[in-house]
Amino acid sequence: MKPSYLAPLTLEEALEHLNRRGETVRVLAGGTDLMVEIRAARLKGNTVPPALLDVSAIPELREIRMEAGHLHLGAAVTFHTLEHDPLIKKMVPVLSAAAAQMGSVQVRRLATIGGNVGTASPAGDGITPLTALDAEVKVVSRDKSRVLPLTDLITGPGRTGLAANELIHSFSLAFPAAPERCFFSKIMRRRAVAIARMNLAVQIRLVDSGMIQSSRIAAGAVFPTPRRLMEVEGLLIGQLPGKELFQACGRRAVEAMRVVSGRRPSMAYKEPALERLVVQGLEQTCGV
Amino acid sequence: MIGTNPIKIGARERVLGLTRFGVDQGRPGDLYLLLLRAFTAPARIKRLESDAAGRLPGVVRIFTAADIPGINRIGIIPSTKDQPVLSDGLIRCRGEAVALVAAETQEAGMQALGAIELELEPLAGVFDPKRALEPDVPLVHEKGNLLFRQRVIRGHADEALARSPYRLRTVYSTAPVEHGPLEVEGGRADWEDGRISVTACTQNPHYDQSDLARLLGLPPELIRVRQSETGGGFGKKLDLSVQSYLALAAFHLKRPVRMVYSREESFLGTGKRHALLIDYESGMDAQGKLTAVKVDILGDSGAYASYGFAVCMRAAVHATGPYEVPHVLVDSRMAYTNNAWAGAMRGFGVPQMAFAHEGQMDGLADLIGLDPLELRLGNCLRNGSTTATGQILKDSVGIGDCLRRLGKIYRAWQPRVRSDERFRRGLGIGAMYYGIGNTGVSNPSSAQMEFSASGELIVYTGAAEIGQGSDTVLAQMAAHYFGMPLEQVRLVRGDTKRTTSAGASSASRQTYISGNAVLDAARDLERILKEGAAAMWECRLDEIEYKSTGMEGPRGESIPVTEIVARLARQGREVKGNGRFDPPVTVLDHQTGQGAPYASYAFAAQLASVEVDTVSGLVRVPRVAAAHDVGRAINRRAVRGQIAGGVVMGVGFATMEEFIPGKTDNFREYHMPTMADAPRITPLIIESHDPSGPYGAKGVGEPSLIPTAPAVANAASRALGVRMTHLPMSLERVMETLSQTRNSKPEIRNKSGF
Repeated sequence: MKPSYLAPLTLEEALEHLNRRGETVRVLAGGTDLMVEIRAARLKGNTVPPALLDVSAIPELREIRMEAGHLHLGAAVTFHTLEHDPLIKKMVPVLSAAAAQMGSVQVRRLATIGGNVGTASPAGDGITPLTALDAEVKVVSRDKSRVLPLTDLITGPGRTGLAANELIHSFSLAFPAAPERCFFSKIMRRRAVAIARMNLAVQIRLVDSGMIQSSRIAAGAVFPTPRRLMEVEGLLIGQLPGKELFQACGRRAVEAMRVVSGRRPSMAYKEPALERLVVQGLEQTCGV
Repeated sequence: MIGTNPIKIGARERVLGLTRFGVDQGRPGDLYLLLLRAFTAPARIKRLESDAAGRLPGVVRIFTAADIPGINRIGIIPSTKDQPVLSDGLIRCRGEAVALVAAETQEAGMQALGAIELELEPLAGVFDPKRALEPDVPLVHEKGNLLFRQRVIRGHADEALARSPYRLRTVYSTAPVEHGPLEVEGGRADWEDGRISVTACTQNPHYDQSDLARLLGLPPELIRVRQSETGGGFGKKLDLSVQSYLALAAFHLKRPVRMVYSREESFLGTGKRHALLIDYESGMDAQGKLTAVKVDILGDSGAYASYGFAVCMRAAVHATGPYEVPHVLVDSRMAYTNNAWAGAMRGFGVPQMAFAHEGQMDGLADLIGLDPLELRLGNCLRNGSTTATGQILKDSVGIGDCLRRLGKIYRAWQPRVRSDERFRRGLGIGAMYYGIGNTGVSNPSSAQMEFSASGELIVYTGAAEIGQGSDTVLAQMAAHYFGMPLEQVRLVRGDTKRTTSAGASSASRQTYISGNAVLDAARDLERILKEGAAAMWECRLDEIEYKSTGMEGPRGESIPVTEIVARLARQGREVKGNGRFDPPVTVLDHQTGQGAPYASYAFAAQLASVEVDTVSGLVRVPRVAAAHDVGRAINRRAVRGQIAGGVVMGVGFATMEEFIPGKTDNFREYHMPTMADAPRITPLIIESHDPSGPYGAKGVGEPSLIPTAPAVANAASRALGVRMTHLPMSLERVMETLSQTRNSKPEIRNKSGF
């Protein structure tokens, strides 16, 4: 059976649907993952969701604005907008850089940041920079709303803590008090239109003396759920950028991956790749 | 007209979205056909129960092997037809078709698929071709697991190797590869005038007709196959796919039916490029001349034969590459396994072999300390050379010219290729030769030609246009012959009712073989017209001259072509020129593989620059220069198009493509190059004028692909300082190599060399 399709134009209406239909409805926010998933289910003869709730046309979910030192990003903002919007490019360039490498031009026109987070893939290209930037996510239902760290919302590969009647509303990103350098890199099996084999977001603040004052680092497809590489960040604070330091950071990142993700066959590739990616990311960010 | 750049026939329609491909053939009211496939292999069908599914609303009928009236075995090679259209009780490889559902709607069909009860009993299988040929292993087919063996023996390779001061032995291997044409398999069948008419995308409508007739137990005349416009083939559409199911359902139901494979089915339901394991030993003397090669080739045909016979043979024949080698010992075997079945794919085993022989040439160059380009130039075939099969190549041997043209670019690029901390860079050369047409067998083409009442030239050809441009090239030749504008040539193509067989659009053969057939038809038509004029003017045939305006006689008489055609028609004569061409070849000796298996050879050499990212292991190919001896370019733009497409496909073969059933069987998981991965390509067209070719032409469809992967692999090997012996050079494989060589200086070493 084909799912029925609902496309409300207001948030209230959408939340009403969610409240009423709960688990029988899947939220569609771009659909570049969901439609692929539904097609695969249909081909296998598995059940498909009876209804799709398309939230991408709700104006409130498409808002981008600055408020009190924070950037507010609606859940239905597309990757195309993340890639090109002047405000986002200026304030959170690491997110723009990540968006530019996600999918194809066509996919970026449809795919949304809320959808990317909702899919909760460990390799999600939007999730890694949001994690590095300590994004908070606002989740709403008909009767209440709550704000929580993004890392708390995603509970496992492909799993979130969203209740059946809840919808990802928006993200909030704190602006750095001083200019920071940033970097995003993605390893793919080809140079475009591929799921990340691994990705890395880095944001670093250097003070005038050249010392590293703060650092935020997150890696995708490395841990089952998004988390910052605090182990590596700790090594950097108060240090001067340098090759040996960065190499130690690379090794530390690999140790963290081993501890959290355990040993699997894919680690033969991922260990050297993560080590090199971290070194390269730090070198490029700090201009070493 | 010859050597110009007319826009491809059909290009405008494609750009405007007007073209109706096989997948667009369905019409309202057609029944939908869907296949139930089995995913446990090997296995025996314990129970197949479709009665309840057949009674579901909208389901018209469910067919199984028992409904096949003729022989439930297909395959293009007459001696190895071993593939059931619907399972004969065994599931020999994953994805095998078990039952065919005909339903009023796609949804009803899908419901029926879910309701069919299929119980499978898993059997012991064999998945490694080496193991498949050992004693006491499960047999994929009763006749045994060795599908075919071809040796090529010339001189005394073992003794020559023993005497050689330089020897190099390397084991190469390649992965199964999917073709990935944009159009999946699709078509429609109907019952018309008491016969079955199938319209589908295909590379060979006349073969389709004969195997469908066999399948249905009908005389071929009762089956009409029309080639729809075809959105790419690359060998994938040579074997029957939807055609069998369309014909079977139309035969039983006497109703129009439509069928389109899903992309996943398209991956599972068609043959892949054969994975080959190549153990290659080369010998060289102190002057840098090849003395001998000894090559052991083992191919994995998967569960069915398809083109395994041809690939086994062609791989053996091309094992030396485009070089003079006095002593040759090749042993090529093709084994059945329970893996995904392999079939034809652009190059028929030669892309794999070229990866090996070009790896050897680079390895030997390093051993002896010669420049790899110079080494190739010193050994390459030339006019008068003898090939590994003992064939003397009289003329049109353009490999030396290809290499020399490349040499200028090679020297210009060399200073720019420097590694840095992050990227390791290298240049690599790949060379090849390729026999045009099928190996050592008759593979004729035929064509007809006539003038319409309004003076249009109508060319009848069975040659399937699959995007490669045969329509345009054949029309150009016909137009050129009669001195007419291309717009006045009309093609009737790929229809078993209206055209005769041109053989397959494969083996880079249509320009050369069907081109010759078209020219033969043109000569025949000219003769008929001249005979008519000679009778009218009572003169000798050689006194008549054909001009684009008409015929002219010895005493200044003239008559327009349309009038002479009308006159002859009134006399009851058929004014249709008949043409045929079968390349003169000899059958290979079964024991020694000696003979002249092809009438013409194409040559090519490519140069690739490669950049290996030491962070990710990604191999990028920023530039390729491609020198191709095509004999004569009938349409330069089409030749350049083939080169561009072949190079990009070769980049995929070299760096990323690997078909793993159940894992990489859709475009999300199976990566092919995008435009971002495509190199900047410099095409160089070399014209050696083959006197046996139509206007001197040979072929370029497969040659365009063949040198790319070897060039890329050689460049990557140079960049990494280690010979890369397995394709694809995936992220994981390159990372492993990088980890092994992290602290060593780049210098080429052979892991498995001497």
